[in-house]
Amino acid sequence: MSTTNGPTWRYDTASTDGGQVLRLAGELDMDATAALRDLLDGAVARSAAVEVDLTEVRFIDSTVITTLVAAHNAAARRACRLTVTNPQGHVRRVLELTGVLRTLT
Amino acid sequence: MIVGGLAAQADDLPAGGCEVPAAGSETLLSASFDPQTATRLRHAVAAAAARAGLGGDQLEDFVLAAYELVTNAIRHGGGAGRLELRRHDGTLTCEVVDRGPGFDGLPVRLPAADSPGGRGLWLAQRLGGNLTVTSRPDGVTASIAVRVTGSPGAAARGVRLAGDAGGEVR
Repeated sequence: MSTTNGPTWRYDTASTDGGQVLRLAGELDMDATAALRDLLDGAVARSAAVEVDLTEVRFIDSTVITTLVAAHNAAARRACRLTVTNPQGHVRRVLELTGVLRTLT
Repeated sequence: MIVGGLAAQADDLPAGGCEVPAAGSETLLSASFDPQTATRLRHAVAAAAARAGLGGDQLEDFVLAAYELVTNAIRHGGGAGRLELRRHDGTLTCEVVDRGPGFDGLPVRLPAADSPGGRGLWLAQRLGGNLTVTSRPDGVTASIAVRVTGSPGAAARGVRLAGDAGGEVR
Protein backbone atom coordinates (compact mmCIF):
# COMPACT_ATOMS: atom_id res chain seq x y z
CA MET A 1 0.00 0.00 0.00
CA SER A 2 1.40 3.35 -1.01
CA THR A 3 2.39 5.62 1.83
CA THR A 4 1.96 8.79 -0.17
CA ASN A 5 -1.24 10.25 -1.52
CA GLY A 6 -1.53 10.98 -5.20
CA PRO A 7 -3.56 14.05 -6.04
CA THR A 8 -7.28 13.52 -5.51
CA TRP A 9 -8.26 16.28 -7.90
CA ARG A 10 -7.49 17.72 -11.30
CA TYR A 11 -8.34 20.81 -13.32
CA ASP A 12 -8.38 22.30 -16.74
CA THR A 13 -8.67 25.85 -17.94
CA ALA A 14 -10.33 27.45 -20.91
CA SER A 15 -10.43 31.01 -22.13
CA THR A 16 -13.72 32.49 -23.15
CA ASP A 17 -14.80 35.87 -24.46
CA GLY A 18 -15.15 37.28 -20.99
CA GLY A 19 -12.33 35.58 -19.19
CA GLN A 20 -11.32 32.19 -17.90
CA VAL A 21 -13.17 29.08 -16.90
CA LEU A 22 -11.35 26.88 -14.44
CA ARG A 23 -12.96 23.45 -14.19
CA LEU A 24 -12.12 21.47 -11.07
CA ALA A 25 -12.83 17.78 -10.60
CA GLY A 26 -12.48 15.20 -7.86
CA GLU A 27 -12.02 15.74 -4.14
CA LEU A 28 -10.42 18.92 -2.86
CA ASP A 29 -9.36 18.96 0.78
CA MET A 30 -6.63 20.51 2.90
CA ASP A 31 -3.95 19.01 0.65
CA ALA A 32 -5.29 20.97 -2.31
CA THR A 33 -5.41 24.44 -0.86
CA ALA A 34 -1.93 25.71 -1.71
CA ALA A 35 -2.10 24.61 -5.33
CA LEU A 36 -5.69 25.83 -5.64
CA ARG A 37 -4.74 29.24 -4.30
CA ASP A 38 -1.92 29.51 -6.84
CA LEU A 39 -4.26 28.44 -9.61
CA LEU A 40 -6.90 30.99 -8.65
CA ASP A 41 -4.37 33.78 -8.16
CA GLY A 42 -2.92 33.08 -11.58
CA ALA A 43 -6.30 33.12 -13.28
CA VAL A 44 -7.32 36.34 -11.53
CA ALA A 45 -4.09 38.00 -12.58
CA ARG A 46 -4.84 37.22 -16.23
CA SER A 47 -8.55 37.94 -16.51
CA ALA A 48 -11.33 40.30 -15.57
CA ALA A 49 -13.65 37.36 -14.94
CA VAL A 50 -12.86 33.91 -13.61
CA GLU A 51 -15.44 31.16 -13.37
CA VAL A 52 -14.66 28.18 -11.16
CA ASP A 53 -16.81 25.33 -12.38
CA LEU A 54 -17.49 22.74 -9.66
CA THR A 55 -19.67 20.39 -11.71
CA GLU A 56 -17.31 17.45 -11.20
CA VAL A 57 -16.19 18.19 -7.66
CA ARG A 58 -17.33 15.56 -5.16
CA PHE A 59 -15.83 16.89 -1.92
CA ILE A 60 -14.72 20.18 -0.40
CA ASP A 61 -13.87 21.06 3.17
CA SER A 62 -13.63 24.27 5.16
CA THR A 63 -10.04 24.94 4.07
CA VAL A 64 -11.14 24.87 0.43
CA ILE A 65 -14.05 27.18 1.24
CA THR A 66 -11.54 29.51 2.87
CA THR A 67 -9.41 29.41 -0.27
CA LEU A 68 -12.38 30.18 -2.53
CA VAL A 69 -13.64 33.05 -0.36
CA ALA A 70 -10.16 34.54 -0.04
CA ALA A 71 -9.67 34.34 -3.80
CA HIS A 72 -13.08 35.92 -4.37
CA ASN A 73 -12.17 38.78 -2.09
CA ALA A 74 -8.70 39.24 -3.60
CA ALA A 75 -10.22 39.22 -7.09
CA ALA A 76 -12.68 41.94 -6.13
CA ARG A 77 -9.80 44.11 -4.96
CA ARG A 78 -8.27 43.67 -8.42
CA ALA A 79 -11.52 44.49 -10.21
CA CYS A 80 -11.87 40.87 -11.24
CA ARG A 81 -15.10 38.96 -10.80
CA LEU A 82 -14.55 35.44 -9.50
CA THR A 83 -17.60 33.21 -9.36
CA VAL A 84 -18.20 29.60 -8.50
CA THR A 85 -20.65 27.68 -10.70
CA ASN A 86 -22.51 24.37 -10.74
CA PRO A 87 -21.83 23.02 -7.27
CA GLN A 88 -23.41 19.56 -7.00
CA GLY A 89 -24.86 17.40 -4.28
CA HIS A 90 -22.97 17.55 -1.02
CA VAL A 91 -20.63 20.27 -2.27
CA ARG A 92 -23.62 22.52 -2.93
CA ARG A 93 -25.09 21.62 0.43
CA VAL A 94 -21.91 22.61 2.28
CA LEU A 95 -21.62 25.92 0.41
CA GLU A 96 -25.26 26.66 1.23
CA LEU A 97 -24.94 25.67 4.88
CA THR A 98 -21.93 27.89 5.42
CA GLY A 99 -23.70 30.81 3.79
CA VAL A 100 -21.09 31.34 1.08
CA LEU A 101 -22.99 30.01 -1.91
CA ARG A 102 -24.71 33.31 -2.58
CA THR A 103 -21.49 35.26 -2.19
CA LEU A 104 -19.56 33.06 -4.55
CA THR A 105 -22.12 32.38 -7.26
CA MET B 1 -22.01 22.35 22.01
CA ILE B 2 -21.01 20.68 25.21
CA VAL B 3 -17.58 21.40 26.63
CA GLY B 4 -15.85 19.18 29.10
CA GLY B 5 -18.80 16.90 29.63
CA LEU B 6 -19.37 13.84 27.58
CA ALA B 7 -16.01 13.09 26.01
CA ALA B 8 -14.16 10.10 27.34
CA GLN B 9 -11.30 11.13 29.57
CA ALA B 10 -8.07 11.00 27.61
CA ASP B 11 -5.63 12.43 30.11
CA ASP B 12 -4.41 9.02 31.14
CA LEU B 13 -3.44 7.95 27.64
CA PRO B 14 0.01 6.50 27.32
CA ALA B 15 2.00 8.15 24.58
CA GLY B 16 0.67 6.85 21.27
CA GLY B 17 -1.60 4.36 23.02
CA CYS B 18 -5.30 3.57 22.90
CA GLU B 19 -7.79 4.07 25.63
CA VAL B 20 -10.01 1.13 26.57
CA PRO B 21 -13.45 1.76 25.08
CA ALA B 22 -16.56 1.68 27.20
CA ALA B 23 -18.10 -1.72 27.78
CA GLY B 24 -20.38 -2.71 24.91
CA SER B 25 -18.76 -0.38 22.42
CA GLU B 26 -16.93 -1.51 19.35
CA THR B 27 -13.94 0.31 17.90
CA LEU B 28 -14.33 0.45 14.15
CA LEU B 29 -11.21 2.41 13.32
CA SER B 30 -8.22 3.67 15.28
CA ALA B 31 -5.38 5.54 13.61
CA SER B 32 -2.82 8.24 14.12
CA PHE B 33 -2.62 10.95 11.51
CA ASP B 34 -0.49 13.81 10.30
CA PRO B 35 -0.73 16.10 7.25
CA GLN B 36 0.46 13.34 4.93
CA THR B 37 -2.11 10.78 6.04
CA ALA B 38 -5.20 12.93 6.60
CA THR B 39 -6.79 12.24 3.23
CA ARG B 40 -6.23 8.51 3.45
CA LEU B 41 -7.78 8.56 6.93
CA ARG B 42 -10.78 10.43 5.61
CA HIS B 43 -11.35 7.64 3.10
CA ALA B 44 -10.97 5.04 5.84
CA VAL B 45 -13.54 6.85 7.98
CA ALA B 46 -15.92 6.93 5.01
CA ALA B 47 -15.58 3.19 4.46
CA ALA B 48 -15.97 2.34 8.13
CA ALA B 49 -18.94 4.67 8.62
CA ALA B 50 -20.65 3.20 5.57
CA ARG B 51 -20.14 -0.32 6.92
CA ALA B 52 -21.64 0.87 10.20
CA GLY B 53 -24.82 1.82 8.39
CA LEU B 54 -24.49 5.50 7.47
CA GLY B 55 -25.52 6.41 3.96
CA GLY B 56 -26.45 9.27 1.69
CA ASP B 57 -26.31 12.77 3.13
CA GLN B 58 -25.77 11.48 6.64
CA LEU B 59 -22.63 9.64 5.59
CA GLU B 60 -21.22 12.56 3.63
CA ASP B 61 -21.99 14.96 6.46
CA PHE B 62 -20.35 12.72 9.04
CA VAL B 63 -17.22 12.14 6.96
CA LEU B 64 -16.74 15.86 6.41
CA ALA B 65 -17.35 16.59 10.07
CA ALA B 66 -14.78 13.98 11.10
CA TYR B 67 -12.30 15.38 8.59
CA GLU B 68 -12.83 18.87 10.01
CA LEU B 69 -11.81 17.55 13.44
CA VAL B 70 -8.71 16.04 11.85
CA THR B 71 -7.68 19.21 10.05
CA ASN B 72 -8.41 21.24 13.15
CA ALA B 73 -5.94 19.09 15.08
CA ILE B 74 -3.38 19.44 12.30
CA ARG B 75 -3.74 23.19 11.95
CA HIS B 76 -4.31 24.17 15.59
CA GLY B 77 -3.47 21.10 17.65
CA GLY B 78 0.20 20.57 17.02
CA GLY B 79 0.16 19.03 13.55
CA ALA B 80 -0.93 15.49 14.32
CA GLY B 81 -3.37 13.45 16.34
CA ARG B 82 -5.24 10.20 16.71
CA LEU B 83 -8.73 9.35 15.49
CA GLU B 84 -11.03 6.67 16.82
CA LEU B 85 -14.35 5.64 15.39
CA ARG B 86 -16.56 3.74 17.79
CA ARG B 87 -20.07 2.32 17.76
CA HIS B 88 -22.04 1.97 20.94
CA ASP B 89 -25.70 1.22 21.26
CA GLY B 90 -26.70 2.64 17.89
CA THR B 91 -24.49 5.72 18.14
CA LEU B 92 -21.43 6.25 15.98
CA THR B 93 -18.77 8.43 17.60
CA CYS B 94 -15.65 9.91 16.06
CA GLU B 95 -13.10 11.16 18.53
CA VAL B 96 -9.92 13.06 17.67
CA VAL B 97 -7.21 13.54 20.25
CA ASP B 98 -4.31 15.93 19.83
CA ARG B 99 -1.42 16.95 22.02
CA GLY B 100 -1.29 20.53 20.92
CA PRO B 101 -1.34 23.80 22.76
CA GLY B 102 -5.07 23.78 23.48
CA PHE B 103 -7.41 26.67 22.83
CA ASP B 104 -8.63 29.79 24.54
CA GLY B 105 -12.14 29.97 23.21
CA LEU B 106 -14.12 27.87 20.83
CA PRO B 107 -15.22 29.65 17.65
CA VAL B 108 -18.42 27.77 16.88
CA ARG B 109 -20.23 30.78 15.50
CA LEU B 110 -20.46 30.82 11.70
CA PRO B 111 -18.29 33.60 10.26
CA ALA B 112 -19.67 36.11 7.76
CA ALA B 113 -19.95 34.91 4.18
CA ASP B 114 -17.00 37.02 3.05
CA SER B 115 -14.75 35.95 5.90
CA PRO B 116 -12.12 33.51 4.65
CA GLY B 117 -11.73 31.33 7.69
CA GLY B 118 -13.20 29.88 10.85
CA ARG B 119 -15.77 27.41 9.58
CA GLY B 120 -14.16 24.10 10.45
CA LEU B 121 -15.57 23.45 13.90
CA TRP B 122 -18.88 25.03 12.95
CA LEU B 123 -19.17 22.47 10.16
CA ALA B 124 -18.13 19.69 12.52
CA GLN B 125 -20.95 20.64 14.85
CA ARG B 126 -23.53 21.31 12.17
CA LEU B 127 -22.83 18.16 10.15
CA GLY B 128 -21.57 15.77 12.79
CA GLY B 129 -23.77 16.48 15.72
CA ASN B 130 -23.08 16.56 19.44
CA LEU B 131 -19.71 18.26 19.07
CA THR B 132 -17.89 17.88 22.34
CA VAL B 133 -14.54 19.52 22.92
CA THR B 134 -12.51 18.81 26.03
CA SER B 135 -9.39 20.72 26.92
CA ARG B 136 -6.84 18.51 28.67
CA PRO B 137 -3.60 19.56 30.29
CA ASP B 138 -1.71 18.26 27.28
CA GLY B 139 -4.03 18.94 24.39
CA VAL B 140 -7.59 18.72 23.10
CA THR B 141 -10.10 15.94 22.56
CA ALA B 142 -12.91 16.65 20.10
CA SER B 143 -15.71 14.29 19.19
CA ILE B 144 -18.90 14.09 17.20
CA ALA B 145 -21.66 11.52 17.45
CA VAL B 146 -24.61 10.50 15.31
CA ARG B 147 -27.41 7.99 15.71
CA VAL B 148 -27.32 5.12 13.25
CA THR B 149 -30.25 2.90 12.43
CA GLY B 150 -27.88 0.12 11.52
CA SER B 151 -28.68 -0.33 7.86
CA PRO B 152 -27.28 1.33 4.76
CA GLY B 153 -29.34 4.27 3.53
CA ALA B 154 -30.25 5.09 7.12
CA ALA B 155 -33.33 7.10 7.92
CA ALA B 156 -33.58 10.44 9.70
CA ARG B 157 -30.67 11.24 11.90
CA GLY B 158 -30.91 12.74 15.34
CA VAL B 159 -28.80 15.81 15.91
CA ARG B 160 -28.82 17.32 19.33
CA LEU B 161 -27.15 20.63 19.91
CA ALA B 162 -26.85 22.08 23.36
CA GLY B 163 -26.55 25.77 24.01
CA ASP B 164 -25.10 26.88 20.71
CA ALA B 165 -26.15 30.09 19.06
CA GLY B 166 -25.28 28.89 15.60
CA GLY B 167 -27.21 25.65 15.55
CA GLU B 168 -30.77 24.58 15.44
CA VAL B 169 -32.73 21.94 17.32
CA ARG B 170 -34.29 19.28 15.14
